[in-house]
Amino acid sequence: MIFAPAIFFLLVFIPCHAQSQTFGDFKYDETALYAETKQVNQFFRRFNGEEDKQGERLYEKDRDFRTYKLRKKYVPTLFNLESSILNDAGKENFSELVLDKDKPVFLDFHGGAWLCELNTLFIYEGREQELTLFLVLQEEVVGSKWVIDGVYFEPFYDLLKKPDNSNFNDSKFLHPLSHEVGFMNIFRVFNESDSLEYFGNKYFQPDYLSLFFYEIKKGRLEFKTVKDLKFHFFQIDGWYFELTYFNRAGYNSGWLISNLLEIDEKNRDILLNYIYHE
Amino acid sequence: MKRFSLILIIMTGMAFSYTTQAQTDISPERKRAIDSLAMEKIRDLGKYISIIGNKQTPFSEAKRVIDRTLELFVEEAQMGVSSLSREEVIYYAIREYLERLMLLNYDKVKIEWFNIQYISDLELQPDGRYVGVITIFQRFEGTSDDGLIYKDVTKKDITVYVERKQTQIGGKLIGFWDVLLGDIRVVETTK
Amino acid sequence: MIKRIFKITFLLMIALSLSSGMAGCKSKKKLAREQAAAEYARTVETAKQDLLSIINDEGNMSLPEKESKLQRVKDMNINEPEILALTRQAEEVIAAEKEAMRKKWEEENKKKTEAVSLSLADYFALVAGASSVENANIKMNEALKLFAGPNTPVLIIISQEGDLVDYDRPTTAKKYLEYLKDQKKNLNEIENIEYDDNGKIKLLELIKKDY
Repeated sequence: MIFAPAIFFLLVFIPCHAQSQTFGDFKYDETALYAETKQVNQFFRRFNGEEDKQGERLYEKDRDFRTYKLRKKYVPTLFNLESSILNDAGKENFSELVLDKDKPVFLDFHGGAWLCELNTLFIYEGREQELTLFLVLQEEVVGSKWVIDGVYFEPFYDLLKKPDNSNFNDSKFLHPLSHEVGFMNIFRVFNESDSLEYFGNKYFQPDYLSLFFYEIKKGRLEFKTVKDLKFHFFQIDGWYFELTYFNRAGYNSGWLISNLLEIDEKNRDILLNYIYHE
Repeated sequence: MKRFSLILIIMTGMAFSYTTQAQTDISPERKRAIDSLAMEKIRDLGKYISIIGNKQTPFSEAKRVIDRTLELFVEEAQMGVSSLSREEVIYYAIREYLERLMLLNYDKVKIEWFNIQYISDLELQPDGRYVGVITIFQRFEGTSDDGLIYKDVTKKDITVYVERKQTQIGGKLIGFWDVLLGDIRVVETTK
Repeated sequence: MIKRIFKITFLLMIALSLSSGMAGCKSKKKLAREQAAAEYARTVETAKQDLLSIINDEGNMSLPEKESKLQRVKDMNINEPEILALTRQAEEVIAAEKEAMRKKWEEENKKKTEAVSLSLADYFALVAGASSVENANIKMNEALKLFAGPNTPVLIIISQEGDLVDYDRPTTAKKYLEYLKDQKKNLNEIENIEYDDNGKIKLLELIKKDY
């Protein structure tokens, strides 16, 4: 499959919508608006072949619903074609897998294994600072909702880290008979706050989310605004992709796949750690 | 922790996906009627905004129309506006937004819609209401009395809440779809 | 001897008086029976005539009068076959007249609805197409006179699937007219009107034009 850029959009969209609107001295090409993947919801529908060229929802009873023919037209248009990160081979392999005629692969909004990375601004210690929230869609008894799954905030990270116990630690410890002196030596633990984490158990990992909620409740961390967001998808076996919004002119715009990686279980964990800044 | 939560969510997602399918039990035909109703509310909003922003509208009429506009929204709905030059979102309560619009110094306000709207699926919330988002593209043109024209093209993502309710009218039990608008994100586009 | 004669005479007199009294009793009973029979016959005849008057009436009696007469006959509980048959006939006549009246009322109501519908539809168009706010307000106030009050409920059908009817959020006459004035568009058609005893609209049902 060759990913020639604009031609695909023209083939998918132009037959129905070669129209423009004139507003005064402005001429607007509505085809570009039809071509744009305007919502994440639309990304799901186009990927799955669940809408027609006009953006009208298709249902099981409709002839073109989830057909190979329709998806073959749509899937190539869902990549950011102005990217140097995405390579053609990767895109082709991925597309081959998801468009397989015998075992096609679809995305499921409620299928889990995808998360949102939301960049925000908070006021902390008198300064505006960037804070990243990680959110996932959680299914409830009735309906579903987004929940905060993690936080990355540099001031928290700088102050409180998971201690690196990979090397033998022969200096920071409470000796095994500390109990005999009533732990009077524990004062040393609190004198050196930089090494405080070494005195936690070996499983200790800072819970930044609790810290986040705590600081907000104490009034020391104040929300200012949201900035931008993107999505990380692990739903397709053996693959990861990132979804980003491209606000630009032309036919290749809106929510598009901005990164694509073939991954196994091990790489998946590494990638997740990387995304969550761990 | 995140790994566990992600795995848990995958498993929960698989367990719940069939029930959530069943929960979205509005037939395609009824969905189309609801979509059409929601779009009408949005067009009504556009018209109300034109009336409010127009200096020719008498003050009392503009105030009355502001009240009618607010009836389209849930309480505490917000406008979140960002521009190309400024990524971060500025928040306005809807009433505040409309009152600012009324005080804008435009002699004439023209709001036009591109002939395209995108309507998402309706998703069920934990409180039993359905929520959807409708995306529209709008061209705003404001002409001040000294002839200066401000134009922009914005993409608006409009939250829509849909709830089936019943009420007694004239001794008869009426079932109706209560469609209310919620938060609106406004993004300036390059188009 | 004389005593004996007196005794016999006395006894004879007693016997005579008894027998004549008995004969008097007997004829009173007979008389009563005859009188009752005559009364019954008169009652049956009256009932018959009443029923025939209902059956053969050519518009001289009102429906309530007929119903009242029929009920009186029924209350007499006359079990004569002829009366029972005539009662059934009279019931059929009254039922037919009621049906004819109902159809006439429906027809009249339909015409009235159409007449008011046209007028109301005209007002809707006038308010939506008014050249100014002042003109729109004038037409709105005129239109509101057709309604029982400004808060008369207005329902708008958005979809129908068999018996399942979906409406938009209910509104009122005043709010709907204001909506037409503000939006300058009339997207709904009149589906049904209900009236109160004063002939004013007490409920208006609209349906979306493109539905």
